[in-house]
Amino acid sequence: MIEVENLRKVYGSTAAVDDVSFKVERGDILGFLGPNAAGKTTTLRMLTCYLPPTSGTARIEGFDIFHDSLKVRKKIGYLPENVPLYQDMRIRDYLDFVARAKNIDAADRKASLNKAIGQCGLGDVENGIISQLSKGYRQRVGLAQALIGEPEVLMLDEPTTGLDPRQISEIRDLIKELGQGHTVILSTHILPEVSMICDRVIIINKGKLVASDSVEGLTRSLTKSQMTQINVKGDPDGIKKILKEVPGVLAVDKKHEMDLAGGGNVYVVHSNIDSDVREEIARAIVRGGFGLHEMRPYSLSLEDIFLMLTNESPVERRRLN
Amino acid sequence: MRNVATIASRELKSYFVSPVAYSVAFFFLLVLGGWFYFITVMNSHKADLFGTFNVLGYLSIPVAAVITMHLFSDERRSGTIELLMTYPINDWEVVLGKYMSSLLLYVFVLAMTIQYPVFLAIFGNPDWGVILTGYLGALLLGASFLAMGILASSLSRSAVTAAVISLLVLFTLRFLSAGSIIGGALGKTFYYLSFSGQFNNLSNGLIDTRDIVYMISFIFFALFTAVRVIEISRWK
Repeated sequence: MIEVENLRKVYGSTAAVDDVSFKVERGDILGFLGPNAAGKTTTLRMLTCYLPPTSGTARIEGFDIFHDSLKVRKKIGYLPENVPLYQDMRIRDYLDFVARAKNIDAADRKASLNKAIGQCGLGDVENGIISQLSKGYRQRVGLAQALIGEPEVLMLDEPTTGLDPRQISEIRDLIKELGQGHTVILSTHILPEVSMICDRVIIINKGKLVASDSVEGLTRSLTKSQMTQINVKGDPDGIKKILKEVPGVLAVDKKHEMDLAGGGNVYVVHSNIDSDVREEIARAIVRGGFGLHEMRPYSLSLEDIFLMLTNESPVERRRLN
Repeated sequence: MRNVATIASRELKSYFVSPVAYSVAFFFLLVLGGWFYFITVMNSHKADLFGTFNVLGYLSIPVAAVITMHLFSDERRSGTIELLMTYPINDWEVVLGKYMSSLLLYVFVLAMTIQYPVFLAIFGNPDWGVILTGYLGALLLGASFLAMGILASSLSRSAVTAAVISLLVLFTLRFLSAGSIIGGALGKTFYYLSFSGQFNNLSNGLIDTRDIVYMISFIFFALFTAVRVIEISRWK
């Protein structure tokens, strides 16, 4: 369990992390989202006791990150963003060093090593020298290092960057599996990763927390109208005109994408949240003599939500309100 | 203590997989051995190590600078210190562990010079008491220089910069002894700060508690400052 209260980190006159509070329950996987330089890494560095906060605090499994730093460090496994490893060591020797550094008893050390090596698929290369590993394997060694000693809390900073698609899906499956026994914070800027793996999501921008909810909850709270996506062939102005006359329709947006094969245009129709206007829309289009190629419910993707919450331009703000 | 041993054994292993340990031992034994066999044995014909230890007093400066220069700077440059600091190990245990590894390497190299007194014993009749205190002096002197090297390494991300810092500080300290010609209290202070007094006493067979206290305080001060530097580098 992780409880973060008003955490703040100031460098000179700029706040890298500004008054951030959130909570992660045991067994949850939290997606920690934000654009580059939003303060994700700084937050994780504070939670792992590497950087002391300027003000505010956090508790991990009930221990304060500042006052009980050593106890906190026994509870966490951390994978930093650029995966710093000792280049001159062999994988197994390195992981053995990590196990010793984490104070794992000699009796359990071998089992703990073998488990981490197995989980991260390092069995074939365990005697390889770290400097000669590919990016994907380095990432796995970094993850194995975090898993050693089975810490209650895992903090993973961008664990899938630089991997090829197959490795990415392997690592994601592993994280999902780990989420069953551990509390995980997964920092990332890859949105599909969050909707695929995470139970909850927090979004941080310019050091400030802008959202904290489940993925569905976020979508729901930001959806103020029902949206239907349609693909219609014909004169856009005429189509917009007849659609607006349908009772319950609030607005019609023509999207930029075009259906090249059918020659139609894509529109998003916003309508009252409590009325289903799909049949009326279909009828209106057919009556108007236009060609209805496709109709489906449109829901906000995490990309939309992310852009809405992190984009500072007034135009975007207006659209959101 | 277990954590200190963990850090020290990792560093010690890494010394021997890189060319550092071998090059340092080679350089050290080449210069010192050259001095011993050509000057002491062939020219002075005395069964003592006074001259050899005098050379060691300067030779151990570059040796200490080279074996400590990477200890913290490499970790800071490559970022591995970030992970190290998130393991349940105190800052002072990290500093002490790294220090112990460099000290063990130094002792290892110093132990190879035992051939000199053995050689003297075969062909002459050396005073073993003086030789032993000389070794104690060489150990304490090296230990002081290594502590300074650790401090220098904690100050910079570049191993070369760290080496330059320790060379500058240690050679300046050592050459302060030249200032003793001005005489008076100031001259004495210079002589004392330069380690020359302490080291000369010990290599002449004289054990003075003040000398030992001075060197041990120097070690303590340098290591303590290094721990603080590591702490401060995280607050910035």
